[in-house]
Amino acid sequence: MTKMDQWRGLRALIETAVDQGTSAVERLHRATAARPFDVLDAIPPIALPARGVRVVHDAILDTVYGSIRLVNRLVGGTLAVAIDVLDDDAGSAHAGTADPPSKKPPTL
Amino acid sequence: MGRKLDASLAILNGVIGDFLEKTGNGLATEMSLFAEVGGDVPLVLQRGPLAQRLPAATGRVVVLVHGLMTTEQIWTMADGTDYGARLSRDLGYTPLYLRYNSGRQIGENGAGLSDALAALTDAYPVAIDEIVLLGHSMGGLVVRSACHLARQDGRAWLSRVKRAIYIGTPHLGAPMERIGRVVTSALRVVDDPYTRLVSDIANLRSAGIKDLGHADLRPEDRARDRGWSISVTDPRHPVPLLPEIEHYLVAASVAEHPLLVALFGDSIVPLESATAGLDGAGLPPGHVRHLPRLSHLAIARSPEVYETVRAWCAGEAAPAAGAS
Repeated sequence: MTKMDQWRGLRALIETAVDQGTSAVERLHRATAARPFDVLDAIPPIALPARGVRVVHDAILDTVYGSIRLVNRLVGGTLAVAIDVLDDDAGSAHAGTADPPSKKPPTL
Repeated sequence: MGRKLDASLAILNGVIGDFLEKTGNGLATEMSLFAEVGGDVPLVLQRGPLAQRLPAATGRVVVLVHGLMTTEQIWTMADGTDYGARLSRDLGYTPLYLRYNSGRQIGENGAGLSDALAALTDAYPVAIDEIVLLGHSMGGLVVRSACHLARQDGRAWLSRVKRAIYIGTPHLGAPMERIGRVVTSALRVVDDPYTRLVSDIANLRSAGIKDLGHADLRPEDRARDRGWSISVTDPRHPVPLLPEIEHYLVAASVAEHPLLVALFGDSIVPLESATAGLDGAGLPPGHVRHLPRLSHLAIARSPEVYETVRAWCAGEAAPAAGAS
């Protein structure tokens, strides 16, 4: 693996960690919020307005966590392109040499 | 590559190396052999390049295999030497250091080591008279797995292996992993989102770590989720110590008092596991050595352990405790 492969790996790992972490927090958030909503849902006089609040709440959650994931992917995609460009530039700079310094030879 | 980066990658690979490999992540460590500790350029296992890199190659080869979450840097002693360099100086061995992704299943790394040794013996610049395999912690299990697979596949390199030396190797498994397994299972039973999250995070550990629980050297062994009650020298064991090789075991303990030794072992591996059963699994008495006042990491770079390894490789009896 080259240095650039490692940078690509780090980028992918961070993107996956943010994505998985966001999903985990979202699950936690929804499960925690569901408890009071379930209680309110069981009280007939306020069940209907509570359901309305819940719909709005869930829509906001979708938007917030969806936005985090979207921004994460956009930043990750931009970084991936930047790394590819840097890699191409490094390749051009070493054009003509048999073995660019960042490249390890195959071993096994 | 810098030492700190190497160490960080080794830890990352130990924790989630199986995930890194599965997703084709560039941070996954590829299995490679190096001619020196901390080397930047791995050996190319082809005749010409190998002869160029090993101009003083001898017929006696020692392959050092590190353990979980470490690299070959683990062997570096206080004076900058290591067991391989000292064996080269004292007994004329050519040391080679394996670096690998310790988060993969132990059996997968064993298969990789077997392939690497096959390629090495084909490309080695001089005839190999003797191979010594030296494994620290998980590295010893990788060595056992490689030998087992080499015998199954009829690999020629196995006939050159004279000795296998296991340093702090959990032949009977590591209780800390088994405890982790129980705790994560218990947490999953609790119907609470916070507890479930903690369980999920704790369960992120790699396949390599999970294999350590019962020293599972084959993928099918872990599926059974239990240890083997028969001795590792018993031919009925699924991955026994091969009788055609001389096996040597070094175990350490952080304390001397029998109770503390029994409770803590070397802080990671219990004495019973490192000695493959307190009777040394029926190995000759001189083939099992217990060194007190050494931790699990310290035994990979201890002058006292080296003197024992040197004596075994020289065909001598191990020095008495405290003699070095």
